[in-house]
Order: sequence, then structure tokens, then C-alpha cells
Amino acid sequence: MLANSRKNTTRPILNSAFIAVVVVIFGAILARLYSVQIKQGEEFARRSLGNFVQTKRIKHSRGDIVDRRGKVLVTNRTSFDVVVTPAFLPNTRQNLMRLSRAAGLDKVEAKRIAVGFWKTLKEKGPPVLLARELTAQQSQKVRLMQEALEIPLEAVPILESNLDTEFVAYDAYLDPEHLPSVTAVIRRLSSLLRYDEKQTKALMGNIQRRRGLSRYRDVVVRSDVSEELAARLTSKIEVGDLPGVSVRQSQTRYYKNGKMAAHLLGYVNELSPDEFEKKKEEGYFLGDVVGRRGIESTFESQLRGVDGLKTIVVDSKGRSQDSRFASSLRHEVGVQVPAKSGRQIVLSIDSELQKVAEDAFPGRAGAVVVMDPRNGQILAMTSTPTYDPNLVSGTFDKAERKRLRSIRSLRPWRFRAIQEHYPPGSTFKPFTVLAALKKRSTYVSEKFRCNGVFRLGDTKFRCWKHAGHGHVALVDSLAQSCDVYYYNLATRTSLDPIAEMAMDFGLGKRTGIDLPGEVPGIMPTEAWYNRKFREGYTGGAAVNVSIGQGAVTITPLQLAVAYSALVNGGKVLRPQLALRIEDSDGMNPQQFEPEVVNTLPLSKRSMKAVRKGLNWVVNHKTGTAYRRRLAEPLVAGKTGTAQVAKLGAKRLKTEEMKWKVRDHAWFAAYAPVDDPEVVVIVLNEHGGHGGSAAAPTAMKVIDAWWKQKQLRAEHQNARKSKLKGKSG
Amino acid sequence: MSARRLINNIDRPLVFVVVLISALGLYNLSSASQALGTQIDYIQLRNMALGLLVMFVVASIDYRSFEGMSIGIFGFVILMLLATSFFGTTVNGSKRWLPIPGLFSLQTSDLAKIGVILITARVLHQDDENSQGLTLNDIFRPLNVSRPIMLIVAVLIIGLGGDSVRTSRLKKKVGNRMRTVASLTSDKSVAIAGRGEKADIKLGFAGTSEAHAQFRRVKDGQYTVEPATEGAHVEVNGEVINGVTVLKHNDLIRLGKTGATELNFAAPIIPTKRRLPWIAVFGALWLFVAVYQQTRKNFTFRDLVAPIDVVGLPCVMILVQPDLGTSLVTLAIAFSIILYVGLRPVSLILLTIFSVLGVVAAWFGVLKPYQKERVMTFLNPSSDLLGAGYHQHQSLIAIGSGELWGKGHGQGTQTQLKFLPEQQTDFIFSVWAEEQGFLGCALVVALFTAMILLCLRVAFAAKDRFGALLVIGVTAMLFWHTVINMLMVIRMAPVVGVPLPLWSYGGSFLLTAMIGIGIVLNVSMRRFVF
Repeated sequence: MLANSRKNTTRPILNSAFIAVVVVIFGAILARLYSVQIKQGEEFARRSLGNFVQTKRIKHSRGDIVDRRGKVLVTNRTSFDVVVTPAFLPNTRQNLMRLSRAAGLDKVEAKRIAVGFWKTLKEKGPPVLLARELTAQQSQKVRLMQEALEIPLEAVPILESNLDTEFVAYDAYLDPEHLPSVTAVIRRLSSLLRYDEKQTKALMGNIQRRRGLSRYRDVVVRSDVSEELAARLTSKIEVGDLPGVSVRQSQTRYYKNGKMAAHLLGYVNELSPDEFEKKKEEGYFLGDVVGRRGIESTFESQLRGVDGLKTIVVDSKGRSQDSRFASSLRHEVGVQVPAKSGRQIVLSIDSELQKVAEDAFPGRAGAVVVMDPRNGQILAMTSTPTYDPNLVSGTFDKAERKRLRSIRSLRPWRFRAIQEHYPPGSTFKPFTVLAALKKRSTYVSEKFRCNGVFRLGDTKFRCWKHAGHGHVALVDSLAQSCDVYYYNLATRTSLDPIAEMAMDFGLGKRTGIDLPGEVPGIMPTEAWYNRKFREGYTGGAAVNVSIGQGAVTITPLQLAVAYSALVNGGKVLRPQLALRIEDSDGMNPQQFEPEVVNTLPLSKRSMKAVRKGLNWVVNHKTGTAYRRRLAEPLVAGKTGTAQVAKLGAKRLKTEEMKWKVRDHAWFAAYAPVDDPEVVVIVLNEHGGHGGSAAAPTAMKVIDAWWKQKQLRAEHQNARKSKLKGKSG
Repeated sequence: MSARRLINNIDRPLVFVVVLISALGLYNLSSASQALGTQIDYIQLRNMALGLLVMFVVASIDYRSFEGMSIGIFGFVILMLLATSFFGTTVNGSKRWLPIPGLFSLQTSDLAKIGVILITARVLHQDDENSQGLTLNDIFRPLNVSRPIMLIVAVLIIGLGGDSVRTSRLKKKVGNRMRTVASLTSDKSVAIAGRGEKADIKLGFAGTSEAHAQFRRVKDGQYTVEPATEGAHVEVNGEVINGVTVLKHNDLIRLGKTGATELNFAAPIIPTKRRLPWIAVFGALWLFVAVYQQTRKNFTFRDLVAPIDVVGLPCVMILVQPDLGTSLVTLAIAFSIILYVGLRPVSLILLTIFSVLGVVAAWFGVLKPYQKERVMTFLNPSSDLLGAGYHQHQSLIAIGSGELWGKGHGQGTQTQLKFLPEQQTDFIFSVWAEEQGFLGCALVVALFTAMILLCLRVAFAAKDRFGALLVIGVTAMLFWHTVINMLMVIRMAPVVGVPLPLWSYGGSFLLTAMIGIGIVLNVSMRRFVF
């Protein structure tokens, strides 16, 4: 019994107060729990879901582009990017502290060691002393720590001290070369990538600038490295030499034939932030590629597939989890939508012909268009000079950029077949003839005399042949390309009927081909001259236009459409590049049918006369392209030599003129003569004479086309006979 | 009386509730353990078994003998706290753990609570039977010798921390965004003083340029600073200096680099000890008066030591570890006992007014913003405001997403995917709330309430005042721990590391709680004795 302890008296009020406080406070806690768990429960459940559910995008692959025979022109290939995740780079400071502590050093000493270490690392010096004269037990401790930190053995050499004592002691060193550190990793990576000092420094700065959460975002060090380098890096990463570095696989657009058909196919590159803002709703993400120019641009919506979705379960550090618990969660709340690849586009292009056309083109700049006059399909369409879309897609290759800059006066980005317009020169003459014939059909047999000069008022208009052609009829006028004959027709017909006829053939109007950026060119009328010039329309304008000079300018593709209409009975077709669009496995094809824009009511008689003239151009010994004729098939066509600059007093030969002022060389051809299956337009910018600078190219293309056709027919026959043999 | 009769008298409902709470706690801990991939649930089970043993030992010794032991135990506790401040291991910037070589580490502040309960009960149970309750004078006794001694001790203990240079990141406005243009490349905080003699401050700027300055302590409160790399310049109070300059307190230092667009680092040197000597002088005067006063009458131990100082000493020692939570809980335990003994209404009101005014005045009037921030980080270094906010945010998500029924044992996504931080210790209740829902929570809150009320019943029914005060002390400890912990996880209180009794993983407090419950059982068993 305690001497002076008091009896515990009961005090009801105080006791009740204590009980009340306890009950009230616990009651308040319960009330708060009710509010959080029941009232706001759903909201918090949603947030907890948001914590661990992350939806990952599975990127779709872009559709291929193939030629008419199924040959792949554009596809995707796997490329390798080298990335660094700053957060996963080794934490050297921490490692040093831990090692120092394991060696029994205090904080101040550890700091001193760290300073020495950094210095040595910078100067690439020998290993630093960590601690001297450690006991076996202490050195064991250092070893254990080094293992726990997953530091390679050679990074912490421990040697026996050379002391004259009976005890064995050890010295521990730190080798900056091997101890994982950001500097060492970056240095190793730089040497693998063959970076110079400056690039290394830039990379280092780029990594060190990352703070906070952005340290978990990857820094792309170099994209699209070679497979060999990727393999080398991967092996180093597996060994653990490059912590924080990884090689990421991604898809890169691959233009199989390099520069071939570059303008036609277009290229892709990443969305700019501004574009992204506009295209967000269409399902684009920042970093997505979008088609630029050409087919890639026209059919962007078809070539682009739909991204898939995949739910992953992450922990608080954002690491994807695959434990049983996590996968059951994923099952419960996850979605899995596979990516849908883009559709494949089958072009009317024949890649063999395309190649021939590009190789055969001799000039600095120009275009070749090969079209099937029966249905408007484009078999080949080139533009010179060109670029390599592989080097332009994604990151712009430096060398290619330099090369393109050096020829920028030639405007290598322009697709000359549709985006530039030129005076057509003599290739325009058939349309002048047809316009005149429409007005007065007797011109078929009427002759005009050419003495080299045509006078209209005070103005003299010259024929290209100074001496003149003498009496010239329609067929001869085309074959020999006599200008005076057309001056006569023009003054008798006036401009508007000629312009109307040309426009009916599609000249000076957009053809409506499935490519972006087509220009219309100009087909002037009398009203146009009245509008544009103070002196208004004069007879001289009609004279100039009649031979494809003056204000008239057209694109090579327009000429192809017009000549197709000349030879297919007057059907003006919409040129067509895409034959069909189908799924990547060939299912669900969507066919594009030929489209007739305009059917011209042309008299058989006049057509016959014009086509005879065009035949003579090549196959009659007076013809301007007679020297370029082929034995087989028979080719018809029209040369054109479009004047670019006003002629001086003295006539110069092509070679004597500056390139910029030389004439444009044209050749518009079709073959075979009687039943044309192909129309070829060649434009050689500032090439000189159509007969010598454009016709040979066209002939080469037609020759190749013919041989291909023969070969295919043989194959077919062989197959047929084989089948027959089998069945028989 | 026989041992058998004692066992018959044991408070069975209390034992039942405690066992039930412990069992649920272990079950719950196994979920957190699974999430963390550890075996802590088994360790806790083992500790619980050990604790049970200790509990029964404590229960079996007649509590009346504790009165005699209390001073000895209190002294031992103080020694342990002292040992902790010298040999303790530093975790998250505070020294709370005393390693017992070869065995385990002990959080001595937990055991200190038992010591405080014993000594407070011992000091307060003998008051006059007919008194109207304690007065402020009874508690504070300003002229007891212990008062000025405590003041001096507190000043000395708190004053041990040295001056330091505050380091900061300066942000520069670029366009609409703030961008960190400079940040320290070395440690986040560079302590110049304290024990330090010199410190280097290095700045990395965007790009590769670096500025480097060296600080050296000359004597207390005086430093020299000199630019250490070429092109680096140091500005003191707006003046660029060349070479060595002597700094005083409150000087604003800026470190920059020639060619860099701006001076990018600012650091005031903040005084921490300047007023301390004056306080010591003041304390010495007070001590003189007190001693003089005491010598005029024949003094007793009671006249020598004020009750507030008995409690205050361990509280201050814990506060400077630093461990705000435990320190406040310890104080709360003592005050709970005082309240049970009974304060006179006037004293109670005055005490309330003074303490509220004091805190408010300190916070809004005296302290500068950076000092407040410093106080906060000083008192609770492991949880800076941002971190604590994150903790509670995740805790609320865990609790709320449990909804009515919970996600099921081992199925809590917040727990299992480790979004819930400190889930095995401070936030163990959130694990339960997530996986067992509101219903489970209601059950557990009810159980804890029952435990506290049952303990109170024991106190009310105790035979003598000393026993009652002991039980009140233990009850207060369990109560405040439970309440503060729960309020913290539901974001109704700031994050202070206070464990949930019987639930949070950790041997020290588990042992403390078991000892406490042993004391309660002890008193309850002997309620019919005398």
C-alpha cells in the first residue's frame, strides 16, 4: 500500500467529458471516412484507375505503294534509334558514397574521394585510392557493397598492401574507367557513334538539362543507325557497359528505288506542332509522319492506318508490371485494339518504263510523260532534276540538302510534268489545224506559199526555215513544221476558235490528275489579251499562238492528254495514277475507272489528215524527226522547239547560247501509228531542237515499251500453249 | 491474494478487443508485405509474441511498486535519449534510432513515453484531496530551480545546430515560362558552418559554363567568400567583390559568371544563434532568483522540480532529434494526465488562451517566411511539403477507392502497385481502407474506440489515484496515436510520423503499446485489491 496514495474518487462529469471527447473524435473520423469512401468513392476509384492504367499506342504501319505489276515502290523498313534515358544512367555520386562508407570512411573523406574521382575521370587518369590498409574483413565489406551496387569487379581493384608488417592489409582503388558513371557511359557511347568532342559535349549537356520527371523521357541520340551498329550497341548494352542507353526499333518509310519517281511518290515527314494542332482530331499524334507531295500526300488518309491501343498496368514508378496481379487487373480493365495498317495503293506506273524514261532523259531539267491513250492511265511520269525521298523523309540528310541547295536555281522540288508550264511550240500546231478545219474544211487540200517570212501589217513573222518551204499543204506543214502555213491559218481563223479547240483538248486547264499542286497553264483568248494588254488583242497574237508561242503555256501532262484525245477518237481523259486501293493483304479493292472528261466531235476526214501529218513527221523523209524513226513500231509525233527569249539580229546555234535562253525542246509521240496504245511527251527544258533533244528520249521509251510488250506477248503465248498442251 | 484470483479479475473484453485488433492488423500487414515483397508480417508476428511476453511480465508486477521505480525508469529513459543523440543512426536527416549492437535498433522516443507516463503519474497523484484542481502555478512553478535550468538546457540543445547558408534555385522568366537557369550542382544544401570549416558552392549554367565560389568560416558568424573559378564573380549585398571578403550574418550573396546574362544564385546567411547568448544570460539570472528563493525555505524535491520540466526534458530531447510528431504526442500524453487530475477552470482557460496566442504570434508575427519554411523542414525533414502532399494525396485515393466493400485483401491497386507510400508504417490504415472498404473501416474504428473506452473504464474503476493516472497516461498514448494517425491518412492533420498502435509495422512502438496495455491490465486486475 502506498503511503500517501489517494483513493481514486469518481468524478462523473470529468469521466463523461473524457468519454465524450473520444466518441466525438472517432465519430468525426468515421464521418470523414464516409464522405471519402461513399460520397466521393467513385471519383477516387476513377483516380486510382488513372494511377495504374496506362494506355499505350500501338503504331500502325503505313500502306505500301506498288506499281501496276505489283512491284513495291514504297514500303516501310525497321530502323534503329539510339536513345538515352537520363533517369537510368548510373548514379555515381551515390555509388561513391556507399563504397566510401563500406570502406569505413566518414563523410568528409568520402567527399574528398569523390572530388578526386571526378577529377581523374575528367583527365582520364589512373585509378584513385579509396582506402589504404584495410583489414580482410573491411575489404570484404567493400566487395559486398560493390556487388550489391552491380558495379563491375574491375572498377574497384583491391590489392594487397606492400607493407613490412606481419598482418596482411589491402588497399582499395576506384577505377574511373570502369566504375559506371554518366561521363564514362557517354564517352563510350560517343566513341561507338564516332562523335567528336563537340558533339559529345552537346549530348552531355542535353542529358544534364533534364530534371524531374523529364529524366524518364528518352533522349534520341541518333536515329536510324545501321543494323551493324545497332547490333554492336545491343551487345554492349547486354553486357551492362552502357546503362541507361537503349536501341529502339521503329518504322521508317523506305523508297525502294531511291530517286526514281520521287516527285510522283512524294515523301513523308513529321507533323509540325502547328499542323498537329489542326490534325489532332483526326487521330494524329505528335511525332506522327504525314505525307508530303505526290501520292503520299494525295492518299494520306488511305495510306495512314489506325493506331491500336494496349492497356498496360504500371506501378508508382511508371514501370510496366506483369505480375499475376497486374495481368488480372489488365484483364479486368484493359482494352486491346490491334493496329490497322494503312491501305495499299496500286499505281498505273510501270516501274520499268519509269526507269527507262528517267535514264533516257538527256537534259538538265525537264519531264517525260507516258500515258495510255485508251484509258488515261499514266505509265511513267518523270521530272528532272530530282531528289531521294529516303534522304528527305524524317531527318533531312545533310549531304542531300547541300546538293539540293546547289541546284536550287533549277527548282528540284517542282514536279515539272504538272507543276510547271511552258510554251508548247510546234506541238501545238495540230490543234490550230483542227480549229481551222472546223471553220473551213477546205483547208485540207488548200496550199499556202512559204517564202520564209509572213507579213501582217508592219510586222514580220518568220518561219524557222529562212529560205521558206515553198507551197505547203496541211500534211507537209505538220511534217516539216512550216510556220508560215499556220500564220496564214491563224489570220484567217482568228484566235478564239483556236483557243476554244485547244481548251476542248484540255490545254491550259488542270487535268485533274490525282496529285497535289497541279498548275493550269495559260490558254489565252481574245478577251484575255484585251484584259491583259493595253493595246488589246491584235492579229499578231493569233499568229503567235498558232505555232504555240506567245502567251500560251501548258504542262507536259496536258499535252499528253491532248495527244491522247487526238488519237483515241476525241476522248479527253482524266489522267489516272491510282488504279486501285486495297487492304495490305489485297482484300477490299476499290477500283478507279477511267474517266472521260470531254468527247470532241471531230470529223474523220480532218483527223485522218492530221494523223497523216504526224505520221510524216517521223516516217517521211521530209519529217522533222525522220532521223529518229524506229523500224518497229511505227511512231508518229510532233516536234516542238519553243522559243524562250526574243531572237537577236543574228541567229545563233543552240550550243552558242546561254543555257537559260535556249529553246525548250518538245516531242509529243504516239505508237503504234494505226492503233496507238501509248502517248509519250518529252520536254527538255532549254534543250534546243525538239527533233534532236527530245525525240530520241521518246523513241527510247517507245522502243522499251514495245520490247516489253513483245516479251509479254511471247510469255503469254508460251503459257497458253503450255496450258493447251496440258489439257490436250 | 492469489495469482489465480488476479487472472480471474483480468479485463476480458479489453483482452479480446486487443487480440482482435492485433489479429486484423497482422492480416492487413500481410497485404502490404506482399506488395513490398518482404516478410515483415512474420517479423511483426514475432515481435508481437515478444511484446505479449513483456506485456504479461509488466502485468504481473504490482503497479504500486512502479511508483518507486518511476524515477529510475525515467532516468534510464533520459539516458537512452541522450545516447541516441550521440550514437543514434541518422535516417532521413533525423536521429531517432539507437542501435543495440548485434541485436536491433530501438526508437528510444517510443519507450520514453512510458517513462513520461510513469513520472507524470508519480508527480501528480499526491495532490491535496480537497483541492479544487491544479493551478497554472502547480504545473509551471516558475520559481522552481528546474525552470531556468530547463530553459538553458533547451537553448543549448536547440542551439547546437549551426549557421548555414540557404541555397536556392533562382528562376528566370523566359517567355511565359519559368526556367531554372541555375541550380546547385553539388549537394542540395551546402552547410557552411555547424562543424564545417569551408564549403564550395558550384553553379552550372545552361551550357557548360560553371561558376565556383569558396566559403570559409573564420569564426562564429563570420565567413569569407572568394570566387574560385575564372570569370566567376561574387556579389555581396549588390556589390561585386574581388578576392576575399568577410561576410556577416544576413548578407545576401549572389554568385554569377561573367558573360552569363545574369547573376544566378542568391543566398542569405541566416542567423540562428545570435540571440541565444542573451537567452542564456536571461536564464542564468532567472536561475539565480530561483535558487535564492528556494534557499530561503527548506526545500523538497517537489519544490525543486516543476512537473512541466519533468515532461519538458524528454519532449525537447525528442523535438531536436528532430521528431515533431512524437514530441507533441508525448506532451499530449502528459497534458491528458494533467487534465484528468483536474485543472481549475480559470487555469484551463488561461492556458488555452496563452498557448493559442503564443503559437499564432510566433507563426504570423515573429517568423519570416523562410524561417517558417526552415522550421517546417527542421521539425520534419523527411517530408517536405511537396512530398507530404503527395503521400496524403495517394492515401486519400487509396481510401476513397475502397468505397463501401473494398477491393479485397491483396487486391488494392494503390497498395499492391506501391502508389501508397509508407504503406507498412504510417499509412497502414489506408491499406485496410482500400482493401476492406468503409465497412471494414467502420469495424476497425469501432474496435479502436472500444479499446480506448475499455481502457478509460479501467482508469475510472482504479482503486487508487496512481493507478488511475497510469492508465489514463497509457490510454492517452493509444488514443492520440490512433487519432493523429487516422486524421493524417484522411488528410485532416499534417503528416507527422505517428504510427497506428498494434497496426503499423515497427518493433519499438509495438513493444511500447504492449507495455502500456500490460500496465492497463495490471491496474484492472488489481481493482479489487486493498
